[in-house]
Amino acid sequence: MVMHPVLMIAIPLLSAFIMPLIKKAHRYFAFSILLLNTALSILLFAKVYNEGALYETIAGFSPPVGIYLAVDNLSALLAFLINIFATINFLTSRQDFRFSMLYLLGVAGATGIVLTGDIFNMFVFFEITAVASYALVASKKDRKATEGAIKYMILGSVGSVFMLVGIAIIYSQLKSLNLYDIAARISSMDPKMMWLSFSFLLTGIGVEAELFPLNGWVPDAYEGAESNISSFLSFGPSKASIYAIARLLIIFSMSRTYELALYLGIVTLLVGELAAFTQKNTKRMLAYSSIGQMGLILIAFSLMDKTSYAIPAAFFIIVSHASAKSALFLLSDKDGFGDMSSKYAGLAGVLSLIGMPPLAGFWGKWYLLMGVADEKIWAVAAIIIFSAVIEAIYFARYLYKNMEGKESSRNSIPAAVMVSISIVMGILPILYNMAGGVLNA
Amino acid sequence: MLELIFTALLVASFVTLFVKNGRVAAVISLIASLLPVAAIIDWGNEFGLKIFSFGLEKSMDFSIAGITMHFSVTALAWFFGVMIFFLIPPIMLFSYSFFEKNRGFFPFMLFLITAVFGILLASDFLTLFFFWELMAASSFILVYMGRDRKAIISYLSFSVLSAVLILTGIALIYSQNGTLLFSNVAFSADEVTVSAIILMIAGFAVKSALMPLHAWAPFVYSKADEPFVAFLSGGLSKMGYYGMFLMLFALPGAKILQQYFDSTVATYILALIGAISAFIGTLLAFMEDDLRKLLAYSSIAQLGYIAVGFGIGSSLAITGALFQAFNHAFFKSVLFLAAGAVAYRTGKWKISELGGVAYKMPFTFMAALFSIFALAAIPITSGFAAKWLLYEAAVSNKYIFITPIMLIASVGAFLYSFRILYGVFLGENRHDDIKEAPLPMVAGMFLLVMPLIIFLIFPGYMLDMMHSALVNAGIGTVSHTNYVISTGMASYNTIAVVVGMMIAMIPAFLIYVLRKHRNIDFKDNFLAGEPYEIYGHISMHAANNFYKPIEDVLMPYLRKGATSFYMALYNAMGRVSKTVRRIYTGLSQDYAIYVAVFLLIIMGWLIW
Repeated sequence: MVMHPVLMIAIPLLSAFIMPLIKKAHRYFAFSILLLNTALSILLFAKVYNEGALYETIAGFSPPVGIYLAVDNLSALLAFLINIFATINFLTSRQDFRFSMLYLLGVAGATGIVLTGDIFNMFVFFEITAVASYALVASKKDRKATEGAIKYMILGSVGSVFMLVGIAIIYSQLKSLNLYDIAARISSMDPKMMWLSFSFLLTGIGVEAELFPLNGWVPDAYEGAESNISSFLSFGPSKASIYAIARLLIIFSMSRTYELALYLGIVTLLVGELAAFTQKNTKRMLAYSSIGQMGLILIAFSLMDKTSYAIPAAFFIIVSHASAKSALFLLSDKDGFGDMSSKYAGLAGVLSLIGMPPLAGFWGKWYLLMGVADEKIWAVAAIIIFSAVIEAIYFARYLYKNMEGKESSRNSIPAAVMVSISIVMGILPILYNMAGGVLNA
Repeated sequence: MLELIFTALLVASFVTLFVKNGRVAAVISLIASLLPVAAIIDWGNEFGLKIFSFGLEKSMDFSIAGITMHFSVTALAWFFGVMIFFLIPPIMLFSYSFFEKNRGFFPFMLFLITAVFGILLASDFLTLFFFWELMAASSFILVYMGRDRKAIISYLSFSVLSAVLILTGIALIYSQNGTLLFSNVAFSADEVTVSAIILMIAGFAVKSALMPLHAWAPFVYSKADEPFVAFLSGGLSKMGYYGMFLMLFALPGAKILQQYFDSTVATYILALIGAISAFIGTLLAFMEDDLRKLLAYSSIAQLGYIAVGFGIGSSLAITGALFQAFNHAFFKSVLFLAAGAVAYRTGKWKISELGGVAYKMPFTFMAALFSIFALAAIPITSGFAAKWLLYEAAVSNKYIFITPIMLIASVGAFLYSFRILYGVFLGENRHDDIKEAPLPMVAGMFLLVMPLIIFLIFPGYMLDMMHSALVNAGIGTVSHTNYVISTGMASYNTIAVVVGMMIAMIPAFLIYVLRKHRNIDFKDNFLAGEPYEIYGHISMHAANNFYKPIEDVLMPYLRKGATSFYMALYNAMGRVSKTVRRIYTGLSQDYAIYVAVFLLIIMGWLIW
């Protein structure tokens, strides 16, 4: 079986550029490409799961010229998640071929970020996703979309410059771009340079990963964009970048960086949840809530060095957030749940986000609090409890507001399918082992 | 076999989701709800209720790749199972007439039953919490159907609060013990375990609507569908006490608390909270005009007694508490169902708008009357035995502060029960055009009244049923025969009490039969209070403003209660939220500055 992870990046990337040539059938073509990519990601996952982590160098060129991929269980799973959500989300597409093109580019970039094992490639993939996302946000032709896209672009480009600076510092010191190589030799770096590069990288990636205070673009871009694009932003670039931050933390595996990530996660969580608390506009509320959830994921990742619950916790929160929040964004094109499937998607989505079984969010909450209690960090436990209640209140309000709907959302069926993935992940504990954590408590 | 029951319940839940006709869905649900009842009856052979047996296993391990859920039935779970699952078929019977169309009550109710079944059978914390959350999720959806903003918000937020408190407690216990199995958990008197116990009890107290965590109850009880509310108040609130019993006595948390604080202060606080709940709940109940809210506050009050029993912790007190829990499950379900039946016929909830319903709905009235006897602990029902045990326990433990509060609350229960009887069922006949509730509704209510009468005459049976649960928890039991409960202080012979009660009633009955009747005006001063000058012409009869003077004195204090505290908190959070959102100015230059400042700060923090 010829299964090379690079196909998952190359196929959508190349086919994106074919889109303008096949204007008529672009939708079917793009959809089949996404489907193919999802199938590949399942195969990749099976391979990684059976044979252990995978390191591939492309076409014999060594980095930095060639592409170097490093795939472990978690990144294969994330690649799978990104692709399957992208496939489902694409069903809602009503835009023209330019949308399909940018969308495929974005998916290729996000997949690349999670699969790559090379920090410069990571930067390139970040740029691909980011550029595609700016254009996607701007593609809705009204003032708000343009405003959101501009803010997104300004902050995104500042971020990518910072990221590039961080990479340059590392390269100047270690003459290497390979993540594993860097991780192995990081302690030989001049500590000041090391912290400098870490700060630049964290700031750069943090813009995409919606960390506070780098997330100014989030409410405007999510509000302005078409609802299926907000949905894409919430499962694609943001999840890939939070994973990139996790990799960054592993590379600079110092207690100080984990501590910083913990504080950052807490602040992001609190700011996001509190900002969402009184937000009346549904899409902005969901955007602030996304910020909060990203903080929660970062808290989970920041406990990685201490407890084995951290990775499953982060994984399940990612699943829950990617599926449920994306579904809620899809539904946000209409006020109110008009039909059965949107009612189902809305309710199940909210229940997943606040962590109720049999949805993925339940396991996220379970493992996260298990990890926190394991470490006996009381303040964090209190903050998680507090933010969970805040979240419950505004989501209850959201549900109440959307109870009656005259017309049903056009996206209701894809949204329902997306939420179902959260249920499947929640009731198939086989996936826990796959996420690489301790399962049976 | 056991997994078959789970599967059958889930399948029934799934099937009813697609059945539009309420009647069909009700029949399916009724049959499905008999499954846990059958399981309970079967297990009864071991725990003291010998009817028949079909050899159902008592434990099961269920694992799907990686996670194992342990199920086994304990004496405690069985006793709570009797209390809860026998409620459901009558409620389903009631719902047969109540819901013309299947709007989602049946599937989620069945799902809820599955969850409750899982909680009771759970023998490790993961399973317990998993099903606890399933219960919260499905009951939330049932609340959601009530379409009330406050109910939805308060129920979801309190459910989540309860869940995270319990989860934190579980996580702490796990970090101390390295195991989640109840049988392997060994508590020791250290800070972590003690805080875990307190967190979990607080989490469970949310579900049993103990003050000050009760704020959701009045909204939810007054806005959701009546059959669900009957189960919520009758059945689900007991799950909170199941959890508390589990933590305090089955895994001996009470002993650990006593060791750690070197006194019984922690459990005394629990008893005090229970007594205060009983007291304030009663006060709020007798001023309430909405029948459902009245019953909601009454639930809070009656559930408070159970906490008092758990807090006192003697075998007498716990027996009384479990007895009270059992009675409350039945009488409060009947009362909510009766309220539902009255509203089904009249469409009204306000006591001031109702009146004279009993003339047209005599059977509903009878059922409600017996439940009110149980609620007010009048010895025509088993309500008396439970309260009697509790009072005796409080007195014999010299709880000089709690005992009077309980007694006052108990008198208060008469005051509001009287309003239900007079204001809704008797008094001025305002409803000539209604008829008796449909047969299934009446049948459902009467089935629920039966245990109240049976256990009046045979309180010994009840004590037999809880015998092994108490013995397993090392509490010890109260010595009894079928009719006589003997405690250190005295012995209580039910036959004597019933006969005495009958004899006392004969003259009253004779007077009622022999004397000539005359109809008095609704506002006859026989029942109406004297209005003060300042009120002008406000009529104060049993149905309306009867306790106005008391209300005027107490309301200013009660208004500062927990609900307004939560509202203040909510508004304060809103202000914080608006302040936080000012960070997002909407100007890209500000955001760019944030990025730069952030970079400098973390750089500075990391390097220096």
